[in-house]
Amino acid sequence: MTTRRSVLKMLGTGGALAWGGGSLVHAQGNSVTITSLGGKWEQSIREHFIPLFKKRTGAEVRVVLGGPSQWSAQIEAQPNRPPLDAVDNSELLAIALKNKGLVVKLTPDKVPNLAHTPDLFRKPFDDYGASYQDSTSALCRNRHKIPQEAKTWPEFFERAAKGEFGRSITLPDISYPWAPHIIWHFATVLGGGVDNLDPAFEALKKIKPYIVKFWSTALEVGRMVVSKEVDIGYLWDGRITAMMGEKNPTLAFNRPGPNSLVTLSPAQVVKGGNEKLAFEWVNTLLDPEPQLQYYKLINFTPTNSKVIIPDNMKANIMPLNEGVTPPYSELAKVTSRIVDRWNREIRG
Amino acid sequence: MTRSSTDLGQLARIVLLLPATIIVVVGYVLPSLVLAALSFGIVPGVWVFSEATTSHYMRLLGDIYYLRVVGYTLFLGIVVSVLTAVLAFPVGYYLARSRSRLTSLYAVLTFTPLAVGMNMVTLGWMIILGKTGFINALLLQTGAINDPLQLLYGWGAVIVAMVHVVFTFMVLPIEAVVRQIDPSLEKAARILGAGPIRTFIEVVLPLSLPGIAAGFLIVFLQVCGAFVLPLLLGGQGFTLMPIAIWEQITVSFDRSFAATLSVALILISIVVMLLQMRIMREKSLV
Repeated sequence: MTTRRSVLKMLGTGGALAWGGGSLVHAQGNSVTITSLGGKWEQSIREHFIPLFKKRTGAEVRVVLGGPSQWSAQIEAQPNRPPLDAVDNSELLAIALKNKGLVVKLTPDKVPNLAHTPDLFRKPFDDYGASYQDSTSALCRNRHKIPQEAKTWPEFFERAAKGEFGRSITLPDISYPWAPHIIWHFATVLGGGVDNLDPAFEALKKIKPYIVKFWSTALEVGRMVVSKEVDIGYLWDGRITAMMGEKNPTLAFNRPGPNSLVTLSPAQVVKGGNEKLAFEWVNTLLDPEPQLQYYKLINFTPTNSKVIIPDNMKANIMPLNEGVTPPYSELAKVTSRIVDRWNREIRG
Repeated sequence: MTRSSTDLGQLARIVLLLPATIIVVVGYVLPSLVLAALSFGIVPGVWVFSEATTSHYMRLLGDIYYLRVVGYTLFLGIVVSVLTAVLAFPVGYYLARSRSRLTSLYAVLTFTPLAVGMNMVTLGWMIILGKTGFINALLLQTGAINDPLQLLYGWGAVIVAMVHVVFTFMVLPIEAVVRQIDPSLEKAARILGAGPIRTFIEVVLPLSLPGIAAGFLIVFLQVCGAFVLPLLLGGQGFTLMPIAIWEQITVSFDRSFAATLSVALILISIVVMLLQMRIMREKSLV
């Protein structure tokens, strides 16, 4: 007879199996589980990188769509049986995975393309990750409304605070995952640093009356500029150049000095996964051939120095010496405080 | 009835209930338990219960910013629910009572927000309320204004779009309940001298309350959990709980505090649900 106890036992067994059975997506023999953002990013991963990887290894590739927070949480939840073999991470989460011992160091013998990847894209992660793309901070503007570009970040803040651009500015909100990096950059170009973020917050408070919206997703900026909700906004150069051209003839962009914030997408090999294929996958991500195709589709700059950029696109690439990255480990320590401070001083 | 047929009946009930039970246990109960554990600082996978702490709850209760976030979320939930109830009632009443051929068209129109989804409705309102959008263009062309109004990125935009998104969820239960009300009751009230307003207030409205209450609950819970719409249409002066949870996960990387906020949001939903059930029971509406 089926009793209540037997049903509970059945449920318990099922639950235990579900719990212990591990993830549905898991590294196996001749396949590698990797990650990708959706949209054009996924398109490029499938069209440009996976075919080359398959040609070289004959292995299958499983793509897990999502975002860095989700992937890092998955790896941390199952450290002995990671559901991913390679992860396409954000900078701070890449450092966190490295510090927790959940990723493996990349070496030129296992990842030959590492040799052609400049230090800026590897050393912030001590070679526990290497970025296959980069994008830099820039301002996009309606050239008819604002003919004269802000040549430096201090000039931008000064002119904005005087109301020269009117109430037509958009900057990133704290809900944007890279907001702490951007606040650090604002602080440094305005005379502060990771230990002194006051200049950034003071400048933001001064220009707050002229902000139409602090944006949460980069997609919002394009829409706001094109629909003339704003005349000037902060965005990554690759995204701006992708919008420019015949479709948006009024759109212009520049990278204010003295330097530009560089964002990276460090690719990492997860410890305990299919490390051999994961190294090969990271090597494919760093390969000049698919990187060029990726650049043509997405406009985010390739990092392999062997990539030959077409002449018509060369002007959009920032010289490496103009780019800066935050001290990630120090920034990670103050991120929560930055969020709290923003909530009190900018939102409050 | 023999013993074996009783057992067979019990077995059939268990088999029929099993899929739903598995979905509830695996999809809701287990994740909720993991979430609750995380909110006390217990890391899933490691499960060190000795490290449990209430510090995240103390932070939530002791920080005016997060209390304000809870307040804004409740405020939006209540305002949108009330507005939707007021706007949806005539539509629900019309759909239930009218014999016009147009009712099917109205019914289809009522379903459109549900059919296109919250994201599309959000984009639609961005176009309507934008500086170069429909409303501003109309006002500028008629000379009512000289410069476009800032209609996006504030409470107004969020409330209007949210009411649109959840409208169907209020109309359907109201229509279902009004359909059950015997029209002769309204006729009797009118014959006895009550005007249309008094008939509505003293007869139709009290009898419609179960539908309004059901719609209110669904709408309130939908609004409290909304993420994309307030993120894209909201302004810089206020934050809602789903956005605060997102910030803690993706920016602060503080999953425990994010779990605490999530548990608080779930608790608010449960409390509102229990409160509504109690009120309904006290008024003998269920």
